[in-house]
Amino acid sequence: MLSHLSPLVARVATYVKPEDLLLTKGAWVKFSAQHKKSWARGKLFEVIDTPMLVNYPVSYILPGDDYKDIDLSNATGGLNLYPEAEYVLYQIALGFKPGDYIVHIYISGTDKYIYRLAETSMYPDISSATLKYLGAFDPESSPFNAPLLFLYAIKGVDPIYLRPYVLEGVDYEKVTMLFKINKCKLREIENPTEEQLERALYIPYYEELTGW
Amino acid sequence: MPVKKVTANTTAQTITTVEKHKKCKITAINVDNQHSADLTLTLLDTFTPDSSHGVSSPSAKEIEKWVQTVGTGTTASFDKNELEGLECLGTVKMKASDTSTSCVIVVHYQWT
Repeated sequence: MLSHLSPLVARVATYVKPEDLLLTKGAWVKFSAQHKKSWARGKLFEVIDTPMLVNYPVSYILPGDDYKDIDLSNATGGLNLYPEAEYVLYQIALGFKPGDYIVHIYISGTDKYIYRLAETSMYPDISSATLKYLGAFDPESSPFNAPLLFLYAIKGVDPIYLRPYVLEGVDYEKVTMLFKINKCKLREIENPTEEQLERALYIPYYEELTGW
Repeated sequence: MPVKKVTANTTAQTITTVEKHKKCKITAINVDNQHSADLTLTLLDTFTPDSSHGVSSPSAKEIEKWVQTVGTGTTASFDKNELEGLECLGTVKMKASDTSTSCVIVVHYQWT
């Protein structure tokens, strides 16, 4: 459902363009066996045709010590970044412009923060002076023009939310994010080889990323 | 790098209009005040914030970002060192304490 590369990649990979981190024709992806969508659950797919890259910058001006919840899904009020058909995967690279803010990612509710710890109180709590920074992305962790944070969306999966929070002591801040949406058509490989299973990009379900 | 010239006016004069996905960094301001009196200049950042958790229906904001008085018959230059960190989120405007075509204000800026 999401992956984040170390910022080190951006510094050392001199010859790698951001686009090189995106799925290309012929790439293999394997969905988690815990996935809720039966057409994808536990299966391996090949990206057919050349994916299409769609850029979508989004900005919000927010006051200091305040935040906004942004639904990336196609639900009412959402940003509508999800596919509308099965056998389509949107690989969404997300980059941030510099600014005095941090961003949390969650599915919904306090029990579905992805970047949390096992103890029940250890989730990103905006009302806490310390926990508001737990698991947060700052803009440098995924730069606008070289994003390192990747989200994976298929039709009908639970909405991923972003929660940009403008830091205390700031009057107002403009939060600008760039979604680079790599639209991939998928074809199932019914009897994958060992090599395909080993080399496929694994797309976990968010529940695998929490609870431990 | 864009430059905008205006004259002193008590009605805020637009320097540049909002660019949705960028901030406006003010890099230099040059003032030639040949008006008959000292003038106080105010740089304004005007925008309407987006709705947030704390403010569901925000109103338009006009925020003073920079204020400087320039004496009569003098020129003044403020470079990027003096304007360090001066960024605007919305439409940038300049207003003065009096209206005079004898006071010319030149604002240098860039979108980031």
